[in-house]
Amino acid sequence: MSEVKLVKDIMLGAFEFPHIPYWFSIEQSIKVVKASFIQTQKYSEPLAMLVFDEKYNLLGIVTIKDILKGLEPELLKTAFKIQDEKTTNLSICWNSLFKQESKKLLQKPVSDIMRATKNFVEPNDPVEKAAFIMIYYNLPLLPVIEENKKFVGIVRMIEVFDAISEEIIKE
Amino acid sequence: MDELINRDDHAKLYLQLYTILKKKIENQEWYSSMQIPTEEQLCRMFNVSRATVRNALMELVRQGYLIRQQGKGTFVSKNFISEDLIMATVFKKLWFENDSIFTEKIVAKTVMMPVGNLSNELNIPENKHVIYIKIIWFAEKDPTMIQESFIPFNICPQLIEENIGHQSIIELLEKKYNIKTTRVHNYFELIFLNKEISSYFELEENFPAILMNQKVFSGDTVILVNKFYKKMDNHKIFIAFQRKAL
Repeated sequence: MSEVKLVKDIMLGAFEFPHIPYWFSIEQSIKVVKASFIQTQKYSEPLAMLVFDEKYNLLGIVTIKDILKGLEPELLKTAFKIQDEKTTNLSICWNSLFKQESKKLLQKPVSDIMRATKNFVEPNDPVEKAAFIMIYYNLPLLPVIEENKKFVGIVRMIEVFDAISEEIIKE
Repeated sequence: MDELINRDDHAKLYLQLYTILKKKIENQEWYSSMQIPTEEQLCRMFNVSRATVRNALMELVRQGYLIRQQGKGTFVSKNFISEDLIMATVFKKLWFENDSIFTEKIVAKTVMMPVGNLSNELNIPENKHVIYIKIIWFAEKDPTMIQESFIPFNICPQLIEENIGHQSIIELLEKKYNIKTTRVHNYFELIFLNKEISSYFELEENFPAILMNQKVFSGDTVILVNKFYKKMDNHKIFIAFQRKAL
């Protein structure tokens, strides 16, 4: 194998993603998604926002999927499972979604629906470590921190995929 | 060289000439009290008809840039720039008369997106990051004013690392980062406090307060928007103006 690719070779700057404070409402975060991704037609996957506290510490990540889930309590329930896709009429599941409750939930703070960031990598970690963590925990984004606290960047699956698949094809 | 009239432009010729001559006055190429060239000379200078020149001059007279004196000619007005009394003010961190009893507590310094009206106020797109700072001002132990400051991130990215507190943001931008404040607009309005701000004052929602909205420019760029929420108490916001040495 040639030289090992490191997290710092593939990470993106934090400012590639919109920033919001944890006290923003779901409604405000929807406006951020619209302004940052939809109106600019800049669809860089994943469509996610970084959530910070009042001291600019990263607390979590919110994707557009998390927002929709947050607006429909049914989707948050762990019990929401389709027993048998073949026999269940699926329209029973979605007919009642996003109706009365959703409007009220717009005022909920984004901290209620974000995924708290518990896993990090450092700039000098190998890309394989990032790949493992992202796949194992099913993360849309992985934050990069330096010296155990300073948030310096973000790793996406597309760059991880590119770096790792490149190596495998070469060999 | 003189700016020329563009005949492909759909704007009327006299309006084009009006704009060109107005610029000459504004940049003081035609200075105060100076006699301007005659109509004939202007016709030749800009290769336009006498009627065009006359209409342009009439408009400049109407707007107060020029004065016609019968039998003498046309002159640039004195003091056309501003008849207003120009005063200077000192920028203090705090706009209180006796600022020694006040202390500050920075409760937030983070980054967000300027959704809604904020992007208009800062004159930036909604997808550009903004530094957000929130300060509570205490008079002795009583919270008397809340300050919210918004700075477009690209104006001064280092600001997020800065230890604000010993000086105002305006001062910090000016002295450390050489971002000069050239103009400040202050808007005052009476508002009803929202839930969040009122909780800092330990007041109920919808309590009335003064909002001073301060827009700070460097050239034509908005570098900072400050919102000062002042609750009703014994302390007054205070701005002093002083005439510059004459």
